[in-house]
Amino acid sequence: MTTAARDTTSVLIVDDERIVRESLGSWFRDDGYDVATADGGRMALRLAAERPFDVALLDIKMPGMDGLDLQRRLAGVAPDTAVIIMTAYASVETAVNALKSGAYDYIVKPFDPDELSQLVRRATEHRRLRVEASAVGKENPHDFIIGESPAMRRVVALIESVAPTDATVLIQGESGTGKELVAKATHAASPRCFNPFVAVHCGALAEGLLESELFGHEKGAFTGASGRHKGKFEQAQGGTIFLDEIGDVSPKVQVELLRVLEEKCVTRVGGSEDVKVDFRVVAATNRDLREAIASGTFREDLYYRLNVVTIDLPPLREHPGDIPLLARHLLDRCCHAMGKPPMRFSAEALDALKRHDWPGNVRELQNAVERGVVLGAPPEITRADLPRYVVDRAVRPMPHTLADLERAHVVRVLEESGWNMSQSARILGIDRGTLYAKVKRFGLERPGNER
Amino acid sequence: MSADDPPGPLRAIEIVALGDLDAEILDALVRGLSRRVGVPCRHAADIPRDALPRLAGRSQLDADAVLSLLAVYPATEGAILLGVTAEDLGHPLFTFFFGRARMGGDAVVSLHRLDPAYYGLPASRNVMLRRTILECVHELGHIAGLRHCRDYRCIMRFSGDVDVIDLRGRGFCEACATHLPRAMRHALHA
Ligand SMILES: [Zn+2]
Ligand SMILES: [Zn+2]
Repeated sequence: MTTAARDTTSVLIVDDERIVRESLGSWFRDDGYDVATADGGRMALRLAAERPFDVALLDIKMPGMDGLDLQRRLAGVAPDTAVIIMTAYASVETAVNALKSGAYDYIVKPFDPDELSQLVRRATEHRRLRVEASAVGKENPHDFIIGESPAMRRVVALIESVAPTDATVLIQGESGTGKELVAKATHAASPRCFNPFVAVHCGALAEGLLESELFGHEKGAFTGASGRHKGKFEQAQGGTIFLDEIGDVSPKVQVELLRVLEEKCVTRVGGSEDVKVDFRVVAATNRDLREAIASGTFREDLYYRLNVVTIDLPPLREHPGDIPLLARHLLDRCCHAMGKPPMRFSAEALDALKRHDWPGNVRELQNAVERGVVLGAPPEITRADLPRYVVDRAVRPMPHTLADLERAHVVRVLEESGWNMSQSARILGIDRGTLYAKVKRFGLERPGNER
Repeated sequence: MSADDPPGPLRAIEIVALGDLDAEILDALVRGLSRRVGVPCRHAADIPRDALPRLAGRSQLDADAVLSLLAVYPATEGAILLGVTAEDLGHPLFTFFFGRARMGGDAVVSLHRLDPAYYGLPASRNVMLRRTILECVHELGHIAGLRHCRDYRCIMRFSGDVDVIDLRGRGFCEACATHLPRAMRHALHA
């Protein structure tokens, strides 16, 4: 059931000679490996795209796409697969080139059985360590939620403390603040991390569709229900279900959800049988659910079911001090994903990013960064490479009075220093006592202080 | 081969001498193997040197071709044919095998690399015989449908190195033993 329990090593053998595929295939099968064979590069790439292999053995000399060609293409489809190049004695030099371009090792035909067996075991171990190393990174909420500001640190601390429990989590935040990332981080840091994470965007579906999406349906439950369908709750068996835009769910589905959350079992649409399911719920909303309760569009009992722990994601404009760090992180990731050399922001570009108020939050920032990477000439992204509206709107609305201006400036300095009073006082050119007085006079509150 | 569909109980192991083989060694092997397995073991036939399939360009017998030869060789009902040779066993894709078997079929074992003399150590007939018998039981396990086992204490652990034959267990681990078909369990797992 869990992916972690998979201990059979999978081997892909690619050779144009049938005898090689058959002999090697049966030899590995006898040794307890899960074996697939391909007669050439095309078939190999198709197989590798379908499922991950721990180890691939590629014949160096094949008509059409040769082993080295295939190795390069395979690296794109399945970068974690350890590649071993099979070669005849005459082409050892080419095999050495394969090592330079990233193959794990090469082996000369005919194979010494002991050498082959040990080589594949080492390659498997190598791949396992690599996959584990990257999985560890994925499990770290810091990798998803970036920020040094007190507000973001509080979010990370909250995720870390709530993730290992089975508590229902309600994430509140404007759109683009990364609610799904927080949900994923919560799942990844939980004991359920090896089981599915299933996301449902409740607001995007009509009532009937949402019901069958969530709870599944039996064959013939409604027109077009051609077969039995497992709902998202069943798909999330053992894992986490993420209900995004929960505030948009209709009253009827709210009642059904409440029952599922209370009884931990679902009834498929058109079915009568109850199916027991084990899941953890993480819900998210960009609406004020208390307001929705007051206006009668959201059930109070469902709200209290969902709201065991609330994580409030602040809009980006409330922690502008995190913008440079976030922007740099997004930039590194984007350059890597697009295969571009590492880039940086010019001072003016970074300044424009810092001044913009980001109504679309992190998602908007990400779009701006991607645009910069596409348009910018390495190694620098300049102001001109950023979207017009970012550059134009970077000038904040003009404060009306001198006091407004002073207040805005104090807030900005405090945010950028992470509410470090000494540092802020130094930047503002005043002593700490004066700063405390101003904070009090302007009614400023350090975010995260309310607890 | 499925365990629900047994080929009838294993009644005997018939040894076929492939090429030149010292008569004393053959005798000792028949006696030793008889003691190790629970069924009678006998020297049944000889296939002369010239009739043996060889690998082109290599001074080795072609292990798979030898198995094909044994497959059409007459055997007593309920008996398994076990080819034994003093020559080296090879394969087009592998440098050598100590032994080779087909599930539900026959097996072949080579003495060539089992004598310490092959590794430049003092020759020892006893060591060679002990290893040969162990290797025969391993191949019989394959005939019975077993694959290689990760357990070092199990005789079904793969050996590409003579040290492994000496180090791994002499019998089947529990997991492998339970997978032995009933028709062969009495013979292999006393
Ligand atoms: Zn074996
Ligand atoms: Zn075993």
